[in-house]
Amino acid sequence: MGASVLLLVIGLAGLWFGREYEVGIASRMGPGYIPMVLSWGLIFFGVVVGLRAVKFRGPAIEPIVWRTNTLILGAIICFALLIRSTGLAVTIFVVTALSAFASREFKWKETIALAVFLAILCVLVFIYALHQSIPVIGSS
Amino acid sequence: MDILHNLSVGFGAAASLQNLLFCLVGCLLGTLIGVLPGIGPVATIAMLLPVTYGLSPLAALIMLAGIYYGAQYGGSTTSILVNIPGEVSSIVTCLDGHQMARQGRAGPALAVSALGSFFAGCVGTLVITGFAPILAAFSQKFTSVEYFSLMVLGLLSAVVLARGSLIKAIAMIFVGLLFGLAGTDVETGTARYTFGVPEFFDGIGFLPLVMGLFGINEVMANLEQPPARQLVSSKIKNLWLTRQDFREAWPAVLRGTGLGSILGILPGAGALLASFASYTLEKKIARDPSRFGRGAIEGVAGPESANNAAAQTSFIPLLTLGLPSNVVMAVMMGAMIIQGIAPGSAVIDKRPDLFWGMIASMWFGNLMLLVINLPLIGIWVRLLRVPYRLLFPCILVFCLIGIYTVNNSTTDILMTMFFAAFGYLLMKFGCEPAPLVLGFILGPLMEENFRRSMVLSRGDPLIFIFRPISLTLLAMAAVIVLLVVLPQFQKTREQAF
Repeated sequence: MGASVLLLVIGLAGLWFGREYEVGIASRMGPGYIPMVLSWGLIFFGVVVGLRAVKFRGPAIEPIVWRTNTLILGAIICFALLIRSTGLAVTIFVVTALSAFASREFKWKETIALAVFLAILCVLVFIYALHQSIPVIGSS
Repeated sequence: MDILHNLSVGFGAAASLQNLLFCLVGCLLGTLIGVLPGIGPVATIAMLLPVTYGLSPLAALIMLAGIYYGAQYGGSTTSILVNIPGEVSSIVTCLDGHQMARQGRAGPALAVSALGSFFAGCVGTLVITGFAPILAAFSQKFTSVEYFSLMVLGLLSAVVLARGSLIKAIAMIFVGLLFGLAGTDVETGTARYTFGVPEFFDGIGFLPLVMGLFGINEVMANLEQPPARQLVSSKIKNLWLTRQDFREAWPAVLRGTGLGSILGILPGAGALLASFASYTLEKKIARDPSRFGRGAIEGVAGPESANNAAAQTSFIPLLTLGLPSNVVMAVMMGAMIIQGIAPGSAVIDKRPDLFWGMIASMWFGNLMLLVINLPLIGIWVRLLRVPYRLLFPCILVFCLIGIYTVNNSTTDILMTMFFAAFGYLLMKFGCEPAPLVLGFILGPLMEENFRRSMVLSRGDPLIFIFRPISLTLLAMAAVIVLLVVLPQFQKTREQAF
């Protein structure tokens, strides 16, 4: 059922955002032709998947574990927010610590040690060895 | 004669110190990620793409290819010792390999899988040498009509092997195709689905998409359901096979190699299917099938040879037709495009050093892997003791830095997060991301070829049926879909996954 809604949303979004692209005719296709065909295809699949979900009850969707996915996704956002303003070392430290918290076997001391180790390793590898133009600490 | 000449060119190119070094790096990395469950070759190759910008195209491809077939060697180690597959393609090796280890025969199990893989790898490389030029020459006759039909065939056969519902898998291809079209339209210059964001004019980034859907998503999936580990702790001694082991194993190795070489060439198949097919075959022709599941050496020898042979020959469609047959090949295709090489039949003619050099490197690579995996097995076993809670932050951090350093763009990082979240939803809804990635990479190519065909035929879609080669390809695609719908096959498919 969830898959059906997802497909319908993508298909409808494809049509809506593509509504101004010129469609053209088959022998002279505009930029909107194929996106329109694909969007309608997705809507069709969304309906079929939805109907099948109603007819045959499949296994229930596994419960969503909010702790892991929000922490991992949050760590990625932190990376995007921090890398320009605080530099590589601080960013890596924060991202590592935050993501490690997502594991059920989280341990404080070990995580801090890992975060420090990774921060140093990344600075050595990416800045000193591969010469990437990211500041170690501070904004670029 | 021609082949000998070509091979000597290849060996000449591959045997340079730099290329051998990158071959070794690729094989080591491949074994490493093969041994470690929870990180696959797709994420690793994608992670290393930024590093390859500075390399020559040949060195880059040699290293990335090494990761893929190296992972097939490493994956079996984890299957045998820990009873969880290090790679998906070594799932069946768990069945008999781990039983052998429990009976104190871990040494012979590891030895037979490494030797079988080595033999299969060499044969697989030979198959590429003989087969690729023929296929490439054949495909020179292809026009946009045939290419479009070929891509239809490739995408549909990839779907057959996806786990779960067929309709969902085809729908995922459509999603991928649509995502692939975002960005500036090549023919008219119209910006499509860019929402006015300048970073989107070149389309959705390949790296953020693959990393989000595979690398980071694998991390999230593993954290939710940590695989149980049961390491066989006894020391591995005696890697030698007894005379009887050898007698039982070598026919299985031969059969596995043959089966794997053929299945690898088919678009959409690859290492996973090959190992399953080989195990089924061995069990079917065995005099005493009840031995399987209790430590039969054929059950390790066959599938391990098959997956390695298939890993080699799955390069054929990419190198000759420009058609990626699985997600790893799609990432390889991305790497080639980044290096400014258009994958396809032109590679053999225009860059023979590159084509033959890469094939020759596979010989060296397989030899290196034999050494990496047999005498040095102890090192990899020790790595298995690193707990996942320490491993996954490293994977995450390397993924993110890899993506960031390509364009120094935080938009790419946010895109990665979007695709990680999207991939998480797909996982919960029982949709496989692999068809999406294949559709994504083929989307622009398919649109281009479809448009050209339509111009050629003045808008008549029947052109795809009136051309004999195109008709054959489409008929093959239809047969594949029919096979899946048939109940008999449905049953086998359910068993396999």
